[in-house]
Amino acid sequence: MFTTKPPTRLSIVRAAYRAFDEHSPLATEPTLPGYLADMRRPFGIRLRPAPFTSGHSHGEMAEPLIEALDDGRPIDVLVLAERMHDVRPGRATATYLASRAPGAPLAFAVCDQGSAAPFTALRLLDSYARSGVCARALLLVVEQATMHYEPVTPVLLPDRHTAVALLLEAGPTTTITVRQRVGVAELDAELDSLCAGHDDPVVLRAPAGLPFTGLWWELAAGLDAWAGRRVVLADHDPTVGLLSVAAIDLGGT
Amino acid sequence: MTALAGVSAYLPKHQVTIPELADELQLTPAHVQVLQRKYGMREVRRRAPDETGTDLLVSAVRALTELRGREHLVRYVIYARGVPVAVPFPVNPVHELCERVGLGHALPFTVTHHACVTNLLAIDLAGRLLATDGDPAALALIVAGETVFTQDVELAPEARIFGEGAGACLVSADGQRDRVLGYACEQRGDLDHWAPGVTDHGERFAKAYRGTLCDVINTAVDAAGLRLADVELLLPHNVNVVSWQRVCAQLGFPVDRVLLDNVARAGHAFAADLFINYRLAVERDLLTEGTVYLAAAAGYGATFAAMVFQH
Repeated sequence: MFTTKPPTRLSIVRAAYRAFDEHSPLATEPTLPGYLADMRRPFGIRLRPAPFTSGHSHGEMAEPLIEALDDGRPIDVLVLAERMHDVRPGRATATYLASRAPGAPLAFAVCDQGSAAPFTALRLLDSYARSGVCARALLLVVEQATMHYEPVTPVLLPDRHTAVALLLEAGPTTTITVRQRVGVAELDAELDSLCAGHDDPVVLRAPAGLPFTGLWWELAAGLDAWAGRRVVLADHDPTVGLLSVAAIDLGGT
Repeated sequence: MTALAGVSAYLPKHQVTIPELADELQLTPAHVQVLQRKYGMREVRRRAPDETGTDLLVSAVRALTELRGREHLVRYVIYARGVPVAVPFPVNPVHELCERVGLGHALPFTVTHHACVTNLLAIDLAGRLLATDGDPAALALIVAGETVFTQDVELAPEARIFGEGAGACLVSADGQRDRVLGYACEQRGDLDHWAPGVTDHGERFAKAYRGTLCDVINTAVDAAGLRLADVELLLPHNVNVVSWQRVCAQLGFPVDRVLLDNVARAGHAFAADLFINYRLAVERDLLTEGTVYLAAAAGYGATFAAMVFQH
């Protein structure tokens, strides 16, 4: 349960990331086709032919990353950011993952925002920290790559199953700034604003093949190399009309 | 202090009795009798054939009179969804809702994985988000309500029947109306109903249910700086009557302070129960100035939570 702590701000201190070449055995669960068939029926879309053999579970993908970052100290809040669902659609995965993290954190998922969800998750974690209930947090950005039906509108699918975990801790300074805009795409102006006054900032955009996890994968991979620099993450998801940017000042120098 | 600036609910007109659901839910006549006589169920509401899940949410928002003229103040629209995945990707009910109710300027997103008590999570985090932003006039709109689109075979309808309905509430970072005094949440991922290879999840959840729900109720009351005796009304989830009788017996709380009427007439409308029951409490003049009331619920996954308010 919650315990009150001094209000603080969070910094990203460690990260883990991993691609999964194999598919999950859960993709072959006999209950999955029926669930998806019921779900797609009102929308008139076509289910791809069974049997299903590909796909992954976000719970099984995130779990080893939580273990990799586990230093025995408790986590207060865990947020799972999702774009496309996994092959275990009925499962409260964030709640399950809370039981695998030290400290039994408050855990929940943020979704229905396309690639903006991790940015919103960062804002929520900041709010928990500033209201004095979170000094350590985990942000999980996870997306498996299989869709078992034809989408109602074209979507970008990832080319592999990937998961990223970012560990955030209370720090002495404000190190994360997130801005989100609805219905506009003034990306250059936002980037200029966030880069101004910083020597040699790193600007990240999602790499090809990983439309959701890619930005955060790049951040996790560069966390040590970019110590002391400002990293700016930029995303515009036209499917939801959201522009999201984040400026993260990495410590370490 | 986080406060509710308005609450609304919507129940479809179409009523379906428990016997009429027997075929769909594969209930035996004996099971139907148990649900009716022991658990206090009579009927649930279901959408009209041409009514969508988003239509439910839109109807709830249109019933939210406190929103009218304040749309421009809404910064966030948060869908508190109990079922983690309910529509095919990239169908997006909360975005469609925003467009249909004139809130296209607000930031929409869904929070989930707290089952049917995601509503309380959404209220808590909306208050924190608004407080961080620092604009005292800003509001968040929370919506809840889902369709019964599948019968998840992991969740046998042993003691609850899902109905369809929706609710909405406006949240402010501070305010005098329906102030949040305390919140407690306990998550039990070890009771995961969808854990691979586990078959006793239902039994373990049932065993943990009463004690854990009592714990979060007592913890929320403590967090509010109150005693359980100060709680004048409990707004439950509409799962069944018997479970609340047992929880009240363990708590030492009078069951006649639990508003259980919607168990029989609406069924369990996922995370919308709180809002549906709030409106019934208003209709019955059960909420007067200063009334301390508590909302509590639990859901598969498993999450147990309670929140104390003062009207």
